[in-house]
Amino acid sequence: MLNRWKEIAWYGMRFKIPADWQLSQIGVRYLSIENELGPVMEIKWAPVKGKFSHSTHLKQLSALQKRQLRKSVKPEPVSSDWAAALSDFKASEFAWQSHSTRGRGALMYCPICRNVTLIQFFQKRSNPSQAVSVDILASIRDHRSDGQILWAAYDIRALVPETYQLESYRFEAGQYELDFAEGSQHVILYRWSMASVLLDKQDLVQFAKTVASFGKAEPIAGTIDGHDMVEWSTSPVADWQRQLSRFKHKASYCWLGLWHLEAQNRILGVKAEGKKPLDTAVLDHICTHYEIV
Amino acid sequence: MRLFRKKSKGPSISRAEALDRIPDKNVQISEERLDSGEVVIHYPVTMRPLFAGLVKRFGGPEVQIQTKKLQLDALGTSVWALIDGKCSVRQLINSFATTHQLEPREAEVAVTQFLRELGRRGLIGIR
Repeated sequence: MLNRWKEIAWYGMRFKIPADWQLSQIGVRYLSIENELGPVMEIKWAPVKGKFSHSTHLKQLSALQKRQLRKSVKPEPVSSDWAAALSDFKASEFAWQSHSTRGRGALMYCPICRNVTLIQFFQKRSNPSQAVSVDILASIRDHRSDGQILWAAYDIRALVPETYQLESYRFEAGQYELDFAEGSQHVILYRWSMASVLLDKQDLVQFAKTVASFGKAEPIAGTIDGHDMVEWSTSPVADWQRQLSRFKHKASYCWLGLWHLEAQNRILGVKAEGKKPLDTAVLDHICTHYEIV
Repeated sequence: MRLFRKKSKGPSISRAEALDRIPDKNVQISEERLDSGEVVIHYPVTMRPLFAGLVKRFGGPEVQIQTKKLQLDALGTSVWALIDGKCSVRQLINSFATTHQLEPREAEVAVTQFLRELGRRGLIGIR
């Protein structure tokens, strides 16, 4: 049963979906999920400022719906089949119907992290089964207590300290990129696929040189956990260079690590750059928990 | 009477229907396999009327058909080899994803973009 589900984690929200469902749209605190017949589920969440009200927040979060539908969406008490799955939240339920689609969803408020979440399941010709929606609802987690945020989308999974905010992301065929920032320090996670094609006419060191340019410093090849890896770093050496780096616009401290997962045919990479010395413990932690699932 | 009537869109098909369509190669093209294993496709292109007029004026031939070449890379070649007039787009995607250990969505984007480009050049038709 377990391997028929996959984990999605985005902006602090975590849940499981059936393995044959896929992410179709990714936004800031928004995910849309589809199966091969079309959209099946969407989830939106936001921190609550001030007092929580089911009707007000339902109205705000359902802003994507067409105006007529939006008016007809009213919060109702949670029905018995969803009640157990939503027991950790202050929840209400809603339903709507258009000429081609029906929707059933829940508005959930977590009193611990003060997050409000709207989740809805779309029902066209074939509905997601009742058991599936209950299992998804039961798997939803919107906060952690270890100061880390899990990011899991498509085939990547990473654990990043919550002090790092996601600045930008790119999911393109062949290349994924997630850019996290804490102040002026950036940590960028890369994933390249079809490593066999990318490394067909060049080695990992040559490939690393296409990702970043660190001036005179040369990348160092090695192995990590049995995987080929390349490490590359640069930082101001002399005292005067360190002083001068404060006034430079560009980051002076840079580090790049790339490793080749041959069995999965992927290359993973982490790049860090900042104007201050990089925290190697944080980088180690990010690299250790960055993986392909 | 509305002056700016909204143009009606052509018949649209769902994603599932699009994935069930079968691509087939244009019979007018020829293929050449290089030593590297990559494929070069030779395909006919009719010259644009403006250039055709200029060529004619300077004593060129009446019928203006050029042959163009398109060299596919390793991935393009692997998708091209899968197009046999029997496999649907969905089957091509699944096969490509399995061969290259790709995420289904990633394979879908890569294969459909490639097929669209082939279709734009008239190298394949979809039925």
